[in-house]
Amino acid sequence: MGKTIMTVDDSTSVRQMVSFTLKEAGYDVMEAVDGKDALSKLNGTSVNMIITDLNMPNLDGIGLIRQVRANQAYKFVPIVMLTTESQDTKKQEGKAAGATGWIVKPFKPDQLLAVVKKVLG
Amino acid sequence: MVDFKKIYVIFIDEAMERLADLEGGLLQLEKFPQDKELINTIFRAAHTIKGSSGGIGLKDISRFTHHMEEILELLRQGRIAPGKELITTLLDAVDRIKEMVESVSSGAAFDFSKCGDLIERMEAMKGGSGKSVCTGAAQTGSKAGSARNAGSRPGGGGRESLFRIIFSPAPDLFRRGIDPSMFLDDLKGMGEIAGIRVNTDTVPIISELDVETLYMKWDILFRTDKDEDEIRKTFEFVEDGSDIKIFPVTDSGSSTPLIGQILMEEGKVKPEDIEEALKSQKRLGEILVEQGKATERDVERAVEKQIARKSELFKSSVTSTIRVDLGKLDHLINTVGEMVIINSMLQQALKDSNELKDKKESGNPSLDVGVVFSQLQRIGKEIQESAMSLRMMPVGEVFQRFTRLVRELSASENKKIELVITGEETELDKGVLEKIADPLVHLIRNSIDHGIEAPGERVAKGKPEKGTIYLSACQSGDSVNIEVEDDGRGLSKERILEKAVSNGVVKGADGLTDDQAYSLIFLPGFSTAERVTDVSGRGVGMDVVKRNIESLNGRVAVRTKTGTGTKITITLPLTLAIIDGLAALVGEEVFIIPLSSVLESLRPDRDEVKTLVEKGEVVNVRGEYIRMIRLHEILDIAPRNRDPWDAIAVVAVYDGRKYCFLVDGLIGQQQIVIKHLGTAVPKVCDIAGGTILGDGRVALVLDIPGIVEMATRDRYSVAGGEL
Repeated sequence: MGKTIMTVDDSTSVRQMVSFTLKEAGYDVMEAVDGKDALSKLNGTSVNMIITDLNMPNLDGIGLIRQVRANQAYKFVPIVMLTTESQDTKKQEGKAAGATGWIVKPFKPDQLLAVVKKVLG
Repeated sequence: MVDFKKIYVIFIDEAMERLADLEGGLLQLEKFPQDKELINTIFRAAHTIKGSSGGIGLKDISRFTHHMEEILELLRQGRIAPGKELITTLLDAVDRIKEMVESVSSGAAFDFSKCGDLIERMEAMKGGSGKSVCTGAAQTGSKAGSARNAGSRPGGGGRESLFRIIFSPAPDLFRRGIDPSMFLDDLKGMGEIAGIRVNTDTVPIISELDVETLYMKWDILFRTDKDEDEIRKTFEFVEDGSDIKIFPVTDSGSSTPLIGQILMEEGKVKPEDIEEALKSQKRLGEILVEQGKATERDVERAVEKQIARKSELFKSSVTSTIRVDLGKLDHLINTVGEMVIINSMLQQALKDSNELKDKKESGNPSLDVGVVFSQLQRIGKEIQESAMSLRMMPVGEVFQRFTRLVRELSASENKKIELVITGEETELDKGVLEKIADPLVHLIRNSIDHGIEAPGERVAKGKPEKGTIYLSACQSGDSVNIEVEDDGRGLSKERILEKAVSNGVVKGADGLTDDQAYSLIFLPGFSTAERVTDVSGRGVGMDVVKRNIESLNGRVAVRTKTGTGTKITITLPLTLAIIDGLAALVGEEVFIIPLSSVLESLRPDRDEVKTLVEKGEVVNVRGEYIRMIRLHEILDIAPRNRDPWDAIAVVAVYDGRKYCFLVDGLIGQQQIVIKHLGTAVPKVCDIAGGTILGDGRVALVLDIPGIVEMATRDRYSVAGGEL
């Protein structure tokens, strides 16, 4: 059984790019449009990894990370955030919230896969 | 710290084996150029060498082998054909890799620029099949996942170096969904983890342990062609909060850290500072030269000596290893298991019989001590046999080298010679096998140089143009015969005698039989080589061959027929230490006669013992007259019986002939462990060694060939007295 990765992004194109790349590499992918959507879709479903944008409506990335970490079931799930160079403070915030790592936008599919591989082992 | 020597030793072993595969494979390929599986085997061998050398930081070997691998890849694809020139180039490349591997083992630096010409030759081979090949190589390069190579190539640098990484992660790593092993996996993708140690000092006792906290630290020795920044990038996600120290270490393998290293580890100085300081430091040699206390040449020589000593040190610290068939080992372990069971059975049996004794009851114990003891004996023998079998190796390992030798020497001599090998599966003790290689090289060289004639001469004699050397091995009883036979011109008795007399090896040549004349070639100072070639006739002679083989308790015999060929037979004991022996009495002393040569024992009748002119005393054994040797005369011991019909004649065979050895009595057959008499005792030619008998007495083991020679020696005079 393949590993399941959830991608959370309000931008359809980014979500599709992430989703496509991961599916090509043999992962199962769940998509969510924002933090709130992500939490409702998670709700007990087992995922192996979450890739989330930071700036999102309803519930942003940092909030999502905090809430995911607070849930016993997802305490140790790797969470990778997508950031831009200018968001260094956000990066610190995310790490403090419990993010595993990050990918700097814009990124190429290869970079994404490298991080996924690194984190999922 | 990691013991690099250990890693290297394993690599050297493996590489030498693979190189032998490569060499053997290439030689085979010349005969069977269409054999796809063979090409695959060769390719895999090269690939393994490339991979493993790269893996432990031997970049030169890896780089060089890469060129070779590319050619082999083209071969595999059928883009180029294995012509003679190609094979020769590849064989030369194999030699070069061998040199490099040897330099690893000696610790000497290897000048990679030496490889330039061969790389060029190999590249030329590739170019030979046209431009399409070049693109082909490029394609396969990228296909074979050579992103790795591409990464290390640019800038021409790409030298591997060793780093020490001290990774003390933030304790909250788990809570961020980070598994610290991911960094190790990452590192593995960038190079090789040469050593790793986990520091668990801060792990608390279990009642205080928080499962969500990471307490461990890692100390990693990492070899890579990447630089420090790239390594640091791996730890990007945990950089702050964790303590990550990365610094280069020298590859010296010395176990005591250098001052600079310690200072660096403690963070007192930066690596750059150390480097700077080291640069300003002068070498001892330079200082001495400046002060006029030594000349540059002295220093150079001393450096050479240093390297030589280092390599000796390395050799002495390398324990030689042996690869053992798992089945043999399993058998041994099984037998040991059985012995343990029998051991406890024996204990039980002894206890039972003691109890019976105590109660003064008559009755049968449940276990009979005698029966159990005989089982123990059987197991003991089996264990001994399987332990000895661990040391046995097929001779093929050594024989295969000679294919190459013959190929090259015959080419340099402009002769056409084929080497036919048989019996390569015959097994010999590893110790014997290693020591037999050099004598065999000498014998084969002799055959090529002196034995086999030039093609023209052969044709004129009505022989096939191509000469043949047969190298064969077979087991007979508890000895192994190795034969080197050629169909060349054979030995010439006249030339041997002429030479022997002129060299002063013998005083006179009269009355020598053919065999005796031929065996003169084994005397020191004898060499019939009329010219010194690079093949043979340089210093070492047949006497060295003979001495080497005799030091293994072996024998050499030569058979030759002028014009037809020469056959040299080496007879070696299967193992050195343990033999079956026949314990016999001579006077009051016990001597051991090696059972392998004994055929039978008998008491001759009075009328069966005769004295013949020329032959001395003989015994008529069922119509066959066998020469009798009175052991008491040879050993200078007063016998119990002077008359053969009161004594016992042991019939033994040596060198194809039977002899009767006269002894006073037989004690029995037993296995004995031969002990050397030590260096304090001068070499006695009739005694092979000593052993300890079951009753604690010491007995000497007779050396049958030595005794036969002593008994027959006064038949012709030899300067120096020993033959």
